[in-house]
Amino acid sequence: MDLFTAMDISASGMTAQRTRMNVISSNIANAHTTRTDEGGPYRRRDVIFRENPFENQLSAVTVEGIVNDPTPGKKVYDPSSPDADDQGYVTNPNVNLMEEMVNMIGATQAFEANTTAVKTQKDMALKALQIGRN
Amino acid sequence: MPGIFGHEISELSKVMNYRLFRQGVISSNVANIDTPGYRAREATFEEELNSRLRMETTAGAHIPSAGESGMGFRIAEDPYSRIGNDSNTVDLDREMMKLNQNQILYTASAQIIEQKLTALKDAIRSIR
Repeated sequence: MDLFTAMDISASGMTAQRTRMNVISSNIANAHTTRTDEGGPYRRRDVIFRENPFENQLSAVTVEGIVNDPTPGKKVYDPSSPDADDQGYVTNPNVNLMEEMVNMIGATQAFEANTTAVKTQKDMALKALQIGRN
Repeated sequence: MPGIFGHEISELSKVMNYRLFRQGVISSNVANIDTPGYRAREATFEEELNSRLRMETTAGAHIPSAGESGMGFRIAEDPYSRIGNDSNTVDLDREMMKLNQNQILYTASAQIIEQKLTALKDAIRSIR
């Protein structure tokens, strides 16, 4: 355990939350995308966080993967759309903007908590360096 | 026999070590705030404290207490944390409070060491 272990752990938290934020942005940006390379509408994505053992029983966090949300998208009747099926229904992405907004607030808060932790650790390290200076 | 620096500096540096370690534990709780199934942890100081509370030896025949261990703290689950929807027990408000408390106490220890050294320097200067 040295002066920077705690900072490394907080940095891992910041990386994870930023990844989550990127995924949320991609969900919001594609909230109305009906065509993808895999075919069909865009599927909402989610990050999976996993505890990552560090030294001395401390744990950092790591993004284990980004998975697709399997819930089906909403079908809207719009026969004029080029993506409409035989019955005239268009399958929209399964992105719920409200849900993404709530997740975004959660990610922002968690990111801020990690930055606060880093700032505290920096102040502590500087205080330790001050011992015996004057 | 304590030298010119007395007991305080070595003991306060142990406290600072513990605070630094606890900072790591709190950081790992904060980093894992959204990890499903993560259980909040706390560094306990009990063993160290118990060893400090043992009796001093006052005569040569007395057996000295067994304290003086290096890293006398250990990690346990935080008993005051609450459980959330995803069986994660990290409470952000509590962790931020602990973070600040820990920083203040670390700074306090550093300040006492600093003052102690300043006092020693002053004493040395006045001899000259």
